Amino acid sequence: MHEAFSEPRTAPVAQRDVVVRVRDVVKHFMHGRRQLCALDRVGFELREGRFLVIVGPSGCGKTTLLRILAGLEQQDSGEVWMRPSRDGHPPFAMVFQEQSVFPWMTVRENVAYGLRLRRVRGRDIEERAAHWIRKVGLAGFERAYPHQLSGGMKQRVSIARAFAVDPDVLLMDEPFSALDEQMRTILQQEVSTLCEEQQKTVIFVTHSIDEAITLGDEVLVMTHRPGQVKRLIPIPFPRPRDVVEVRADPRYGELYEEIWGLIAEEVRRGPREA
Amino acid sequence: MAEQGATLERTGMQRPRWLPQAGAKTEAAVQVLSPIALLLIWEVAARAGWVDQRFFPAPSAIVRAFWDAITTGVLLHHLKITLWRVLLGTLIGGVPAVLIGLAMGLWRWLRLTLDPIIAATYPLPKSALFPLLLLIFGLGEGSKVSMVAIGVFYLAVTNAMEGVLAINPVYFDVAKTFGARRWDVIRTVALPGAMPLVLAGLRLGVGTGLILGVLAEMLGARDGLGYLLWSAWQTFSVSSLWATLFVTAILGFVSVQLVDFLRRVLVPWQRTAGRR
Repeated sequence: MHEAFSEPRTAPVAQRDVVVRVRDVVKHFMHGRRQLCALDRVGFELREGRFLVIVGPSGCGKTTLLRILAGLEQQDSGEVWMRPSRDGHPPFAMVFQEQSVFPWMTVRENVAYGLRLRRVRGRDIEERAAHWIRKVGLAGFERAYPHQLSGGMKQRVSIARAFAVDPDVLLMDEPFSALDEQMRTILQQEVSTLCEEQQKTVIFVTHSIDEAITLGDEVLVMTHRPGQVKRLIPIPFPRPRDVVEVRADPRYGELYEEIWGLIAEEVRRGPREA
Repeated sequence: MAEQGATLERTGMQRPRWLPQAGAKTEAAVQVLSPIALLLIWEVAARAGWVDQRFFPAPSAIVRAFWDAITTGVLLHHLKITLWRVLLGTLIGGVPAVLIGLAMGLWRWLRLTLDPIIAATYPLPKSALFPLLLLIFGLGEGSKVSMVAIGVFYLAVTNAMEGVLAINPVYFDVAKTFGARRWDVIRTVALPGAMPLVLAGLRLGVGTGLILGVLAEMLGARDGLGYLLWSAWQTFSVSSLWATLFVTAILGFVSVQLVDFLRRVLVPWQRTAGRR
């Protein structure tokens, strides 16, 4: 049953520089009295500086996978490994789907949050927070509270908060799904540029095929529940990228068609329950 | 506000001509004028004999009685006593209530243990406890202050607990992914996140505490506003009854304003526009 999926899991080309390794991860959920399998032997490896986008039909467990990587949930079996950071702090930072900036903190306090928890020196906190606030274009809003900001600005705060702790790995869970088209394109460009410039390793979950091709170095397509790796597709566009120009490339259409075909197949099939 | 009204006007928003423009100034004026209008109607009705002056003396007569009670120092004396009882009761009932409520929100086992006890005793009318409190504390301050404290406690404890439980779980996730330890989570997420409901609970609690305090003073006290109200009834001095009622109402209003002030200091991040 799984021979079709074994190919991407056994791709141990270059073992060096691996930052994230996921192997045979299984996760079940209780739905009432029924046990549902959310993830079924999912595995992949990610080398330093690579931008991996995970797409799949809704309910395929892609968010669950990200939450396991972030330590917010525990897998039933399988291995999740992330290269530890030099300073002993979590080697990753996460940007969430919903509005996750703390409403009780100003923009500055939100961006400084991770640094404060890491007991960074006060002066350095101020400097780095100010730097990242400027970087995401929120200079002048340091003392504003989130309820005074638009949705796009709040998500910028969230992005700055993650970058401020200078993590090796960025986990992003549909960070732009609540934004309108224009704002989404603008933030896609900014995140793409920032990740390239800061040499971040990124795992980005989305349900948008367009977003996957635009941002990713590789796109991991997942099956419907139980979530398995359906295919790992390399994206040939070099980085840094212009997220609008990329869409005009003829290969973009081919990739879109290919990924859409894979996902449509899964959506039509629906969840397979054991 | 006024500016916003002006821009709306300039952008040519369609407003029927007959509808008065509800600017901030108009709104404020209505709020001041409506009680004054009521008082005027009352005055006229009392003087014309449309209402029974024995029960509803003219506002001018009440003001006179009020003035007398103030100048003789009687009203202020009793006001001070009630104020002290409400303040003390609020502290004694409110501080532990907020601490226990927050702890119940944070620790599931504490919640499972205490919630049934609180839920079972909450529906009991607190006023029904007064005879028992009189037995325990006697006619002294204890019975009155504990009455206020009980009134504050229940509302403060449930709201503080709900305050923690109502926090969007994503905020706890954010804290965890940044490596927050237990105390960090409490300090940076649970406490500030619960604050709006904590203060809502205190606001309601102070109101209930005042009601119960005044009631206790009516039933078993030799001073305080409740006692003054009761003795006014017994001596049938209706004007001073109304004057005391007026002061009691002001006390209630001022104490709620104090909690609101506290809210603005402690929860500066809550949107205030459109509230009321």
